[in-house]
Amino acid sequence: MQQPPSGPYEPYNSEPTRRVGSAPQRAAKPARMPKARSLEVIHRFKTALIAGSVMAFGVLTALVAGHTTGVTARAASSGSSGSSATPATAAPTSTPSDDDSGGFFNSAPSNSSNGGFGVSSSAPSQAPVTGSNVS
Amino acid sequence: MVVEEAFETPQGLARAAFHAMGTTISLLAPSELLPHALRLTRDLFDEWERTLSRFRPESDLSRLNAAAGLRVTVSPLLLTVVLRSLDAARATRGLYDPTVLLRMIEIGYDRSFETLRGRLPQPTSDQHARVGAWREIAVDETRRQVRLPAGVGLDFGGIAKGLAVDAALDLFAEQGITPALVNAGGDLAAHGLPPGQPHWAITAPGRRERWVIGLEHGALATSGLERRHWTQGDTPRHHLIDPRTGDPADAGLWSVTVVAGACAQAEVAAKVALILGPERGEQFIEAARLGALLVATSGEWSTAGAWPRAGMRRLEAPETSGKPDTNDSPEPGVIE
Repeated sequence: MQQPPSGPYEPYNSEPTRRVGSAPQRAAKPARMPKARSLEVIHRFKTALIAGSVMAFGVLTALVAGHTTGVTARAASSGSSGSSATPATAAPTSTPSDDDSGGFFNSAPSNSSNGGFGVSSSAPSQAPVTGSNVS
Repeated sequence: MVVEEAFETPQGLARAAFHAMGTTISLLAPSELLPHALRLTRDLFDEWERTLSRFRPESDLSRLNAAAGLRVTVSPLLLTVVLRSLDAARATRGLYDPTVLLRMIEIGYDRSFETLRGRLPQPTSDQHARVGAWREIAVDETRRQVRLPAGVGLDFGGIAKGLAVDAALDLFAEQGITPALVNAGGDLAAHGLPPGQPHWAITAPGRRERWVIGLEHGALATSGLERRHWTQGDTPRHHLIDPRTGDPADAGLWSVTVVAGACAQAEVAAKVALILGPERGEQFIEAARLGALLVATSGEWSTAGAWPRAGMRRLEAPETSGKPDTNDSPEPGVIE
């Protein structure tokens, strides 16, 4: 018959402590994570999840916007030549600056055989054929 | 007054003239090709005037001006002229400014010059409309859309006429019409040479005389105060606005004639040099590698850049000095 516990720290019905002998011992349970630590990990996971979601949303929004612009541009370029006035919003436009990148005075006209202009260094002897007037 | 004086028509060529874009358009071309050349030129100038006139409410330009602040889909021609005018504004740091329309209207030039007569009333306000707003014009070339800033209108001035002359010569070159010369109210360009002659003998105006020079190829254009001037209240006005002040230019020059590779280039350069005045105007012409005859209000003259100073022959005083432009041009399509 089993004896009741005799000491204050030995539980009732617990197996007697085997102090000697070669029988295998039962595996020790892993240490449980403290509650505070668990809460901290969960909090970090939530933060990462929210940040990832926001980034993914941003990327998707950019892709959708790019797709819409491209489709609209293609539709416009293949559309009719009708005239219309529309509100000035988000048009892919250019505005001029003071940089003379176009080279207005450097561009040769296509009707000129060698570009630029040519004038006679000697005064004409014949009567004028037309005149440049104040316009 | 547009004077179709007794110019000599070179042998083998014939001359025709008609009225368009507020002035007389004349052309010289081989006799057998002249009717075809005239038809091409009239069609071209008709289209340009229909599209670009600010005095026609139905024109593409008028529709664009009326929709300032909005994106407007424009015709390919208007888009081309807008882009070239912005090129010119950029190249001249805004001294050529296509956005002076409202200021021009404020000083009285609110109708076709042929109908601008008499003394106009004094303006009721001293405020100036904006100029220099060309930097805010938005252009989407792919969609052919242009947006003017709100409260801004376009008036291309002479550049449209110059571009039309260049376009006519391009058309002639494509169709084998050579030699040829097109003159739109004094803005002219030529390609090829008159048969048996080394150049086109062309007059350029002074204040007390005229000069003849020989143009081998290229273009000539003149800007000046002689024609388009009027009085508003007690204030003398003319059409060449200095964008730096918003008022008609007053830099001491009476006229500037420029020789350049293209008529639009010559037209813009002449206007800018006149705005800048004698010294800075000469510097501008030299920097642009053009040539110019600059005539001061005193009548004194100087030359700049590649202008053929040694190749000038003096003629008598011009008969038209001081007279305003009028509408007594030849009948449409007159062929001499």
